[in-house]
Amino acid sequence: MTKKLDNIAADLKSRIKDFNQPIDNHLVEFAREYAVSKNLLNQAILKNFRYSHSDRSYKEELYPEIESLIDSIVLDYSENASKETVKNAKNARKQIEDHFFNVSYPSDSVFKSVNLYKKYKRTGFELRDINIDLKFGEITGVVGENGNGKTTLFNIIAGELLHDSGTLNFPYIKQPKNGKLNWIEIDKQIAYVPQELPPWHGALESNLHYEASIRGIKGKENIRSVDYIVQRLGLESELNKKWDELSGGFKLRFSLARALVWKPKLLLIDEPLANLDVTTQQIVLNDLRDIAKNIRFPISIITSSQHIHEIESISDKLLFLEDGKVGYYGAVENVGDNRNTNCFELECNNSLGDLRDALSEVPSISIFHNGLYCLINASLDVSSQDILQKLIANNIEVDYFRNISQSIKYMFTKH
Amino acid sequence: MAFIAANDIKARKEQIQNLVAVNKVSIAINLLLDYAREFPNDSTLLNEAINISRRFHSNKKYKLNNEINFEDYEVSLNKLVESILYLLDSIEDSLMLTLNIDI
Repeated sequence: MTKKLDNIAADLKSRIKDFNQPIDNHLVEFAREYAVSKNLLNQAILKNFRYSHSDRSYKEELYPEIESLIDSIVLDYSENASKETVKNAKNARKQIEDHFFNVSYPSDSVFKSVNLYKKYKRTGFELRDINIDLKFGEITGVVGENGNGKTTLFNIIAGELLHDSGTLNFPYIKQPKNGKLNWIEIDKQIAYVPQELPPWHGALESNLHYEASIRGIKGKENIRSVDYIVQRLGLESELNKKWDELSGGFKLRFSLARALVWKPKLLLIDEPLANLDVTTQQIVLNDLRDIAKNIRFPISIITSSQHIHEIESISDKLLFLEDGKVGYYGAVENVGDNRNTNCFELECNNSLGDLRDALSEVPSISIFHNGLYCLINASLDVSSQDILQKLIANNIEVDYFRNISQSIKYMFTKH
Repeated sequence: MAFIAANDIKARKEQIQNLVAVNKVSIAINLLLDYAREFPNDSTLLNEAINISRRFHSNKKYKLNNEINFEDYEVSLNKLVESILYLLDSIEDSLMLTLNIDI
């Protein structure tokens, strides 16, 4: 084993000594595998960090320290790995891991609707047959074109709009026995961030403390909750600004902070990505994903967006609304399971005629332009590779290509 | 980033360590805040994570405004990374105490 470990250590040293190659976190992985002492692992992380953000001359300067650390890890392993105390420490860590492995989200639904129906008398628009079940730890993405009922649905769930028929149920929230919904209790567990964000008045930080306070979070816990959410959503630099001085992205993040500071059970966010630049969209989406996957303060999130691929990337379930009806409701990974064709989106400078010529040998293919992209429909046995190989072989320069067969976007193309 | 189950405490700790190692300290601190809030019962550990985050953002601001020279910035960044690693170990120690696990 020592001989083998010596070889691994030598390989690692030569890799690190090639100062032009990034070392990723190889030093850390090595330490994690062989360092018995926690201190050596932490030193490896620290050295890996310093090496990662240094220029060549500093890397050269750092190398002897890294070399000596690798030798120390090898020595540590050969001297201590078989000791009983080390085995006990490993076993203790395993017990912690096992303890939390057995902790999971409550399986309860936070919200259920059965045959939900709402009609606007003036316009005649109907939202109908909405049967959804929102569970802890899940993100449900609601997609659909404008005017298909997304905001109506959100307003009904949030209790801001009365439905005409069907049942709303909040199983996790204690309700009176007479069957009527107790909106005072429900309101204590639901946070709603609407599309049009209402302006805040007064100091931003005070608003957050106030919100936490009226939700029952007092004293030190109030301060800690606000400090946490301010740091977690990166709001500190903006705390001294007025609402009107904030960018659209920060207005949304502050609204999100106010919604989350009191740890609601259900979070509704209507069109969070509208008016955000691409980087901010990604930050908001990552935050939502991290917030939903929390085992101590479990939450269910329902959010709507026109940014289909982005919302698909973080959602567990999707609800596709078309003309007020459910076009699809289910797990993201099952989207497109019942399709008859594969569908590809393509952008290039060539004409539809060129594309048809290039793909003429592909069986049962249809190509059309939807105003934004060329859409290629082909039989289920035609893959992205098949299409791309033909396009490349025919010198078609592809600017953008995406297989949308298992995306809700495919359903949009059917209209 | 690869998806990590919320209850996989080992993978979450290693993810934070890995992010630090490859100089993605900002993302590591965000995940540390969640980790310190979710697992230990000891709120002082969350306070420490909040302090680390504050120090990191202040340092960044000083650097942007040229209020700190490069060497001082590097020294404080190294200290901050040490604090992150120390806090991760403290959380583990705290969990051992809470769960009554003896080494």
